Amino acid sequence: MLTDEQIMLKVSEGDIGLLSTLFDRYNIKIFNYFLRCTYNKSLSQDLTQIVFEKLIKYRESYKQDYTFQAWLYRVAGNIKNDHYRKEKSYKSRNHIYFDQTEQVYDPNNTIEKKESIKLLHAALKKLPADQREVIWMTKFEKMKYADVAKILELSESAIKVKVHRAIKRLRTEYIQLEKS
Amino acid sequence: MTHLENKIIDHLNGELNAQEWENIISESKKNPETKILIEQYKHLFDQIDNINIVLPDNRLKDNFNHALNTEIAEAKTPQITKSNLFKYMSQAAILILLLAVGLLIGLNIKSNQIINNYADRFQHQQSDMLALLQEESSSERIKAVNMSYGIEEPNKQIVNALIQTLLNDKSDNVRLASAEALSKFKSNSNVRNALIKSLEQESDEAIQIALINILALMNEQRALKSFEKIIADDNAVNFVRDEAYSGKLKLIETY
Repeated sequence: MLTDEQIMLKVSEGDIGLLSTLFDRYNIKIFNYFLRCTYNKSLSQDLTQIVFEKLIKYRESYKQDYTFQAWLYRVAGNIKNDHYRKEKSYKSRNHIYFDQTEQVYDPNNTIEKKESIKLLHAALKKLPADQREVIWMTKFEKMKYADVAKILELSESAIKVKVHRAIKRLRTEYIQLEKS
Repeated sequence: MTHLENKIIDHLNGELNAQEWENIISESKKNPETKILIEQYKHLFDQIDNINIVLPDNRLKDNFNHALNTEIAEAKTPQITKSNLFKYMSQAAILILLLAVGLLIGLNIKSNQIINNYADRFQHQQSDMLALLQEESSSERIKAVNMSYGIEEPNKQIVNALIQTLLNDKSDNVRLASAEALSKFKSNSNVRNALIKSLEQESDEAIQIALINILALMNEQRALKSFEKIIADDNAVNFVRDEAYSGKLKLIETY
């Protein structure tokens, strides 16, 4: 199986059709990344579409000094920032917010487990978007600090500090919600 | 506590050495608060691992495939270089000549059919565009607005649909696209009125700037009042006020 980077090399040689493999590998991840940042399904779908349209359009600007994943998230991050710059507010006036109770069906989820996940969603929602972003990248996406640092144009140590702060705050919010 | 929390997070991230973790475990046996903290973080990390992903709907894949296929088709189109430009031009000239002869011959026979085909094509384009404008996704609505550029002679219904989109669409990007699409109908008084009305009610700075530029380029003197209102508004963003001021100067110069 070709790695992402090998695929991009082949794409740059003209095998554009291989981009569909990268779409299959990353569309759900990117969609969920936007969803965790915006809590808006329709908007996340639109932003994800823009990411992949840019992947097609700017495929030749990819440089091997980034992992493909880091490069794609950087594109996604820029699109998200552009959107927020236009909207000015994370809670844009016209958006219907994503229903937190919406989950992928999983028969192994007990009621207790579902409640805990619901609490986690609610706690995540209370975090500032930049903290949710680093948690998403490092915990859900399992990205290395070095890659996140490249995406967010910060030092590795700054990312580590950000992640620690985000997790501490997440614990505080989670405990408070659990108590209430 | 913060230092201890950092160590626990490091451990759960697999970044703490065994000895340090042993020390924390020993400490937790003496201090119940430490023990609780470790449990809370472990629980939190477990929950994070359990979180479910949400799937996008199929339109995402369909749209991507469409965009990719278009790109593949474009990539297959041969590029014109200087060396074969002359050859292409000669072939094109012959082709045009043949087409012209063919057209002249067939014109009398098939004129009605051509008119009917054109009318059908126009009807299709128009109904596609109007249907797309009703889509929930803003990117689909932008596509609809952009389709108006491809319609050779947009009729009243299309222009009105663009006007309604400019005035009422919930998405800033769609309204901005509509403003730009409407800018080509300089001579249409309904369009001019709608652009002025939109500037009066619009709160998005990017669209305000686009509208100011369009109205100034149209030399729409009635917009002067709206420009002055923006210039005098202390709550307006500076770069919008600057744009309004520059628009005002343009209108005065061309008056």
